[in-house]
Amino acid sequence: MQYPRPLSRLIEELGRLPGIGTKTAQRLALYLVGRPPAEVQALAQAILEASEKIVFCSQCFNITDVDPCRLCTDPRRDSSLLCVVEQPRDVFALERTGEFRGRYHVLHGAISPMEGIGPDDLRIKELLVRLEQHPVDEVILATNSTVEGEATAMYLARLLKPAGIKVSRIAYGLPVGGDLEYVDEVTLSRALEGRRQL
Amino acid sequence: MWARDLKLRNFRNYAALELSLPPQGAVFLGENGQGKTNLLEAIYLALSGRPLRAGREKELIRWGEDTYLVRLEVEREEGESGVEVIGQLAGSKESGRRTVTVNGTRVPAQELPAFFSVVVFTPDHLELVKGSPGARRLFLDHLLGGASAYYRHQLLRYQRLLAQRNRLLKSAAGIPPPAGSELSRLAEPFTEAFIDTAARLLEKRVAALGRLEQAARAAYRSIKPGVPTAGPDGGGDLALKYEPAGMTIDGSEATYPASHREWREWLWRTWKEVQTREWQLGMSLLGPHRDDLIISADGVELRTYGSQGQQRSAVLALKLAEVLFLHEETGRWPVLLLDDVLSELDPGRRERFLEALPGEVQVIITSAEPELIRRVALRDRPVFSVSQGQVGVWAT
Repeated sequence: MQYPRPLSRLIEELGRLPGIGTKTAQRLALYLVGRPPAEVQALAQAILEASEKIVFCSQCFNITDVDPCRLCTDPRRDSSLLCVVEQPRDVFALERTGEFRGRYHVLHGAISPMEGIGPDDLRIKELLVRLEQHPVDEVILATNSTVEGEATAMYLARLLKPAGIKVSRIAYGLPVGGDLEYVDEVTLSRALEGRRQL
Repeated sequence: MWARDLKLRNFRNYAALELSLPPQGAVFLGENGQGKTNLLEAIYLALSGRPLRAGREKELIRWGEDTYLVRLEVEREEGESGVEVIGQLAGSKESGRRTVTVNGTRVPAQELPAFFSVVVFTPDHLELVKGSPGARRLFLDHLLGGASAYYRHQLLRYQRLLAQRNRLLKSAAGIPPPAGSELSRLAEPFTEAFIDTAARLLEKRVAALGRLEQAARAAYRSIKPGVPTAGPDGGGDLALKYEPAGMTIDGSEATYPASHREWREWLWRTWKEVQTREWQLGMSLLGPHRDDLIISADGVELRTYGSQGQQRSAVLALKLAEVLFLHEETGRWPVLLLDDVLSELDPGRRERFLEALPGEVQVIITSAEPELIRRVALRDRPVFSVSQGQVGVWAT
């Protein structure tokens, strides 16, 4: 038997969400139609409000509800350090560490010829303009360690270094508290390559 | 290690199956199309994370169902482990989803070689010596990937880099972009990473080949018929030489770059000579995906000049060496799956091959020829019959 039309539409919409397959979409949809209308209203309202009020910051391109965002306007942050990341979620991950007190720039992706993503599809031009208007002491490239993330970091380094900007790449290595014995060979060999003098 | 209990649900032509295997292995007899190879496929999938034949999830699921399960209890040198592979059709998508757990913990399918070792031998492998270089590269990748997480990781990276880089090279439509152009600048980071990863794989392949050659030599001596003969350049033996694209390997002892760094330098030098052609052809012309393995014996290169007998002996020696190599590298005896291959061999080589296998190796054999069990020393391996997705005890 087929689901009634409004329900199958809801399943279809939910199924478009990342990480949601057909079965999960069905479960969520059946759950939602069984909830009190006020609860469903609140969820729908929250989705709409987030979608309307969240914009990209015009300076760092992180997601924000005020433009420029709080990270860009906070006077206590160090404007001489700029950390470049792929996605807004990377900003939140770095912020949770509480260790980085500089500013951010979100590229919204990484270079991937297979997916047709080139430098022009990322916020690279905006990064160059920003660095020209507000020079920094150091750019930290914190893109992912995937093939695409590494290539993007290398591409940016070649672009920025000739302009006399100090460029660094975040290190990959051992998890804190990890016993050497239990760390996989790949992580260990990376950590060895990224070793520093004491 | 050995596979002890196999459980299948809706896998290929099996609706439900539970089967116990002894440590020495078993023989499955049945006519073609009854599900013998599907059994080996299930074991291979559970131990390696790969299907035996190239195929999508959809083809592994029994017709009309949407989920399959393969569960295998394995006695490993390190202890007992249960591995479970569940395949599902993902909505309307053709691809589907595969979930692998070992002792209840999810692991990426390609990481199963960290737990298990398996070697498969099908009639396709009989072409290993005289066939295309691609088959020999695959042999090396499975061998090294089976022994090292580092190699598996670098190989995945390399394949991704190769695809990304080829896409860029193709986008030039045959016209090399001028230095400093946007396309040329975009290609630089991919070329740099590509060469670095290629150098890592080359270093590992050449180093491993020395160890593999030792095992293959001993195996070849015990498999080839007659008394061992020594050729002029000590050539009575099997010899394996790695031939990188862009390097000419002649009869004399090849000297390879000795480290990852030296390989990288050699690749950069050689790449400078082919870079224009890469843009013209729209593909990467150097690296592990273009290389070959030169197999010679009794002083001759077997691919071109070997007799069929020599080629066969060399294939058997390589498969045997694969078993020995994996044991040496991982400390585990791999499970050996012989899919319909014994009846392809002449009695002498077949006997010597089975004879040369260490007794610790679990050997699981399929054949469509009931005659085989009378002609092969089975070493008390039980014989099962396979018919229409049902397994029973073979009644003679």
